[in-house]
Amino acid sequence: MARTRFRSTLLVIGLGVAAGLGLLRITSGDRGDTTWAERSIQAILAPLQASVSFVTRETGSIGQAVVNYKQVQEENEKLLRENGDLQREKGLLRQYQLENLRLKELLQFKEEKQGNYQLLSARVIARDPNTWFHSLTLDRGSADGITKDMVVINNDGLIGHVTSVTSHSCQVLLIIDREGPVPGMLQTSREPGIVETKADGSGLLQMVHLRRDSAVQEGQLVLTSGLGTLYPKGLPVGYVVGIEPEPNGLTKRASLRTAVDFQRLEEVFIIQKVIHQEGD
Amino acid sequence: MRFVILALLTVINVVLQTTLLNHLSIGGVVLHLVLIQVIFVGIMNGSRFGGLFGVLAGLLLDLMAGRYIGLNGLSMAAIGFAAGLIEGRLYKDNLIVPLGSVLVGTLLFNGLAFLLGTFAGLRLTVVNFFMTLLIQTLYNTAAVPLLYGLFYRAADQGWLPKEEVGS
Repeated sequence: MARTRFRSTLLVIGLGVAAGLGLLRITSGDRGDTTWAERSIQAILAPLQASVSFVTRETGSIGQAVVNYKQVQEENEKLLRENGDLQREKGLLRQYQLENLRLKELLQFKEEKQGNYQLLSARVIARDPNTWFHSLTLDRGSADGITKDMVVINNDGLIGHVTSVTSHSCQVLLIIDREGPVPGMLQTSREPGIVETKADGSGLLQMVHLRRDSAVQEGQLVLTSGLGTLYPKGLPVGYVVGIEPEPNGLTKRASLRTAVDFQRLEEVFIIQKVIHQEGD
Repeated sequence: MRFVILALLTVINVVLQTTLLNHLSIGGVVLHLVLIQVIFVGIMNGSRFGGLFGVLAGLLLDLMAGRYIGLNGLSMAAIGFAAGLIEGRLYKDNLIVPLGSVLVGTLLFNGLAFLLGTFAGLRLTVVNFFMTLLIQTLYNTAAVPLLYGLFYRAADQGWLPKEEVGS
C-alpha cells in the first residue's frame, strides 16, 4: 500500500517536474502575449504594490529627511553664509557704483573749474569725533602740497578750509562750524554779508547784516564774496530759505540751507591755487 | 481559514518583496521573503504540503513576472519539499533548525534556479550567480531570527497551518 502511494507520489512529482520544465521552456525569452492567469495575478497585485510603493516612498522621503537633517542643517548654514557674502558683495558693488557716479561728477566739475583753480582731489577719512566742532580729516597732507588755510570745495559748493596739516592728512574746519564765518554775497543783487552757522542747532546758516531794504528772496543763491583772505570769490555757500529782521531793526538776516550736503561728504577738492576768481 | 491567512500572508510577502524590500536591497539582492516563507511552511507542515505550497508561491512569483514560468515554481517546490523532510525529525522550536534550513534552502534554491534558468535559455553569468547566492544566503539567514518567532507563534496560535507531531 505504502509502495503504491510512494509510486504515485513519484509519478506526480515526475509529471509536475516535466510540466514545469516544459512550461519554463515555452515561456522563456520573448513572448507574444501573456495569458489571462498572468494578467489576473498582475492586475490583483498591482494596486497593492502601488499602495505599498506610495507609502514606502512617502515614509522613505520623511525618513530620508530625518537622516539628512544634519546634512540639510549644514547645507543651510553654508547657504546662509554664502547668502551673507553675496549680500555684502552686492552692497559693495552698489557702493562702487555710487562712488563711480560721484567721481564722475567730481571729474566733470574739476574739468569745468580747471581754468579757475588748481584742484587736488581728496577723500574724507574721518569725521569729527565730538559735537563741539565741525571738522573733517582728509587723506591729503603736506606731502601733497597742502598748506593751512587752503579752501575745500566740492561740485556743490564751499565746504571749509584747512586748519592743520600733517604729512599725509589735513583737518578741515567746515563752514557750518561757529568758528568759520564766511564773507558772502547774494548772487543776484551782489549784496555782501557775513555767513555763519545758526546757533539754534538747526544745521542752517544765516547771512547777517543785510540792509533792511535789501532785495533778498527765498531760493536765492549766496556765494562767497571774495572779501577777506581766505575764500575766493564766487563759490556757492547756500540758498536762502527764510528772511527775518535783526533785533536792532536796521538790518535783517537770511537763513540759508547749505549748498553742500555735509552729511554725505566723501570726496572733495582742495583748492591749491586760485588761477582766476569766478565773477572777475 | 488558516489556508486563507497563509495565502494572504504570501500575497503580502510578494508585495513587500517587490516594493518595500527593494529599498533595503544589498548589492541589488533583495531579501527573499517568499522563499523564507516556503521553507518555514515546509518545516512546519512536512514535505507534501511544503512542496505544494512551494509550487503555488513560486508560480505566483512566476505569473507576476510573466516570463520563465516554472522557474520559481519548480525551485520552490523542491525547497518546500526538502524543508518538509525536517518536519518530525528535528525540533522546530530550536532557532538553529530554521537558520540552517534557510541557509541551505537559499543555496539550493539559487543553485536550482540557476540550472533551470540556464535550461530555459536565461543568460546568467557565473560571477553574478555566485554574488547573488552569497548575498542572498547571508541576507535570508540573517533575517530568520526576526521572522521565525513571528511565524512560529502564528502557527502555534492556530492562525497558520501546522502539522501536529505524530499525525
